[in-house]
Amino acid sequence: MTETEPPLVMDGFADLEQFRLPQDYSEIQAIVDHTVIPLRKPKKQHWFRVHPEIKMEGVPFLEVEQESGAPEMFMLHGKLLPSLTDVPGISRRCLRLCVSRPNNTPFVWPIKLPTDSGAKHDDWARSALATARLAETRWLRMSSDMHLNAYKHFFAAASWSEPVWPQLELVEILRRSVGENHIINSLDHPVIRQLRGLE
Amino acid sequence: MARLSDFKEIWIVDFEFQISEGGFPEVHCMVAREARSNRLIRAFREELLAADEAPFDVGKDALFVAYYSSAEFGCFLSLGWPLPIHTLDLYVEFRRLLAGREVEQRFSLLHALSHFNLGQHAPSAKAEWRDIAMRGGPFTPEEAQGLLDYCQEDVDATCHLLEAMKMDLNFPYCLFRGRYMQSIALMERQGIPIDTETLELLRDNWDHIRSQLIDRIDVSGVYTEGSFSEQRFEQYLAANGVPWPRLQSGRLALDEETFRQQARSHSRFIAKYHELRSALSKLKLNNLAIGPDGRNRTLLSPFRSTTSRNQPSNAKFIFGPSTWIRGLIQPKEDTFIAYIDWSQQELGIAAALSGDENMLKAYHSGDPYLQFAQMAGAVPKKATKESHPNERAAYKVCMLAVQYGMGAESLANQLGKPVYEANKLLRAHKDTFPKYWEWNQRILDTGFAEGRLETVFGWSRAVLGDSKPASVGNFPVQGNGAEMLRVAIGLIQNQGIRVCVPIHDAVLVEGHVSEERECLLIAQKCMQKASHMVLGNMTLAAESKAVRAPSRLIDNDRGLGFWNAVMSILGRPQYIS
Repeated sequence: MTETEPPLVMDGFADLEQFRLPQDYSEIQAIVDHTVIPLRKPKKQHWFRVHPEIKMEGVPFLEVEQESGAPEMFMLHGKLLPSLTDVPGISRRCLRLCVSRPNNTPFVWPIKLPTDSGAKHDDWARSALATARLAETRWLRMSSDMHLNAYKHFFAAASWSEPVWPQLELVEILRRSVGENHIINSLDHPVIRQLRGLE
Repeated sequence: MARLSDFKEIWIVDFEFQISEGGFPEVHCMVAREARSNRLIRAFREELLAADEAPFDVGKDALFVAYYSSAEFGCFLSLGWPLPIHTLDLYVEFRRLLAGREVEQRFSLLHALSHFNLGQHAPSAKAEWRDIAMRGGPFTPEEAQGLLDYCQEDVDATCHLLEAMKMDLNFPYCLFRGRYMQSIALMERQGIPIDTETLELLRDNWDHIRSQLIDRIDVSGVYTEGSFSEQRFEQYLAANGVPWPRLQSGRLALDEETFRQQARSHSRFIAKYHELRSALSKLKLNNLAIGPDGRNRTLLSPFRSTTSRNQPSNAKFIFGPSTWIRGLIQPKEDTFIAYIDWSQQELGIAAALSGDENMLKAYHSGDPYLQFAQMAGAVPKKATKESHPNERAAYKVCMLAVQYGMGAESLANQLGKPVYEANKLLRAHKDTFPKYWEWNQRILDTGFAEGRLETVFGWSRAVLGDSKPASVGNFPVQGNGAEMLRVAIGLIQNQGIRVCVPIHDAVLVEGHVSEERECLLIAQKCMQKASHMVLGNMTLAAESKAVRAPSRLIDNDRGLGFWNAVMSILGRPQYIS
């Protein structure tokens, strides 16, 4: 440190720290918004969680089978039920908000409720409800067991972070998942007329 | 000083000089103009040499303005003048304005004038007078007058540029950047001590060395008739179980960057081929800029990258692509040189600025890669580097890949594993460091929403619609890393310690052996202090590696073997570090 070079002066920079600009970038808070929230059951390879509070019990749905692909689901207005005893494919459902990994992708799971009739499909319904309850606190995936006539589930061993839920009211979730085109509130609805052989 | 108007005097200055390769500037003349009073100073060489300080105010109330001021400060140092306290460098500020804009833009004074529609003020016959300046004296009276006039044209053009740019200057940060241009001038003057005797030997025997190198190093037969064979290299990789990134066509990626990264990840098998390829295809020993005093000096090209890091010319710089050639760096008698860097600088910055507790824990663990694998549940809590080397290596590659914004496909290539394996690692990273990922998303949101990102001390880059998200997301880490280095170098130099050169996130310092311990201690403290000044809430540890004459600064993992192979061809003793 015996040098001939002129000394440098840092005047004005002794207090450089006071000029630090923030680096947390918190002024812009981007919120993820999902314009479409699918209405479906969990896919067998997907790990998912079920929201412990956002749910809707006993909602009547009409399931219309398609020539190919998954059946189309229609939410029914409760007042119509007594007049629809002749229409097949109607059941009451429990709607549960779910998200799947890794991107916290939301979907609404319409779980068929058991009818307590002793029918075979009641075991599917009961096991689905039980799986949903377990998924309120743990990541799991589920698949069908044809021997048991019920769903089975697998817990994730990894300690993944907690799910991030869409910040939406239940009504808005329904609007985005069921959609206005899939609500039947009149007996004159084209789908009902078609199922009755009127169109 | 928060505004231009805070300064009592604003001096716009330019020198004409000549400089030999690796040497010092030899000053011909200088012109300075005070912006408000229009006062003009014109002085030729003899007058300047007779002065022991600048003929204008360089004190705390004055502002020194230049375009690429490290050149002017090189002249100050040649003349033995004290450096100005406050500097505004319009080249640096022009760089800042355009950083992040992927446009074909050059950065000479003429280009800056043209950018601001000031082409009418561009100096006339610039090339002619620059050639005369580089030719050097003695000058005829007409030439001397012409040089001064030409120098004055540059000064007047810079005055117009200042006027055009004044609304874009962000005080006081631009003064801090100007201050760094003094640091650059000091380092460019200091240079790096080189073993010129061995360099001459290498230059004289290079053709013979090249032909011998293949025979000695390529024992696996990757080269055929003196040429690199991709097919044989592929066989070599398969035989040694080394994964290798591929192009979309399916062929091996054989570019310099891939080789460099692979040489780090698979040093045992790849480092020697990396060095061999560099030595055979790129290294041109005659291009190394060595001054008459045996020191490597080259322009350090400050603020050249979008993130404001230095980007010196590889060909002229001893720290260019061939690692083994650094064996030529050798301190002179009774002196030492030391390489000082922060441990895991980029990870530390990401952890501190994002506030991710797990990442902070990983950083402080001493082995962040193993800690990450442990946190992700991939290895037991008692795992060590020795017990789980493969898992640690995979998590290391993942952690580094995330810092550079790499996606699953590139990571899979890097690891030589399927994409689902890479996805698994990336998911583990997201699960382990959720706050980091939230912060990274906020960076992208802010950048693309506001069109600009800024570092702690005001270096900024533009973010355009087509900016690459990986580059945008990585900007705060790289840009603040560059800020940290600038602060550290200023602090170290202010302690009277000689800094030879910056090397990415490290510095090379030099001193007398009697002061080694004290110098290293002070320099490390300065680096720690700089990290705290940038991060605000955290201090990064600094590490040093010092060598004394006649030892060499050579990397045991990435260069020593190759250096010794070359020495063996020359019949010189092997180097043992």
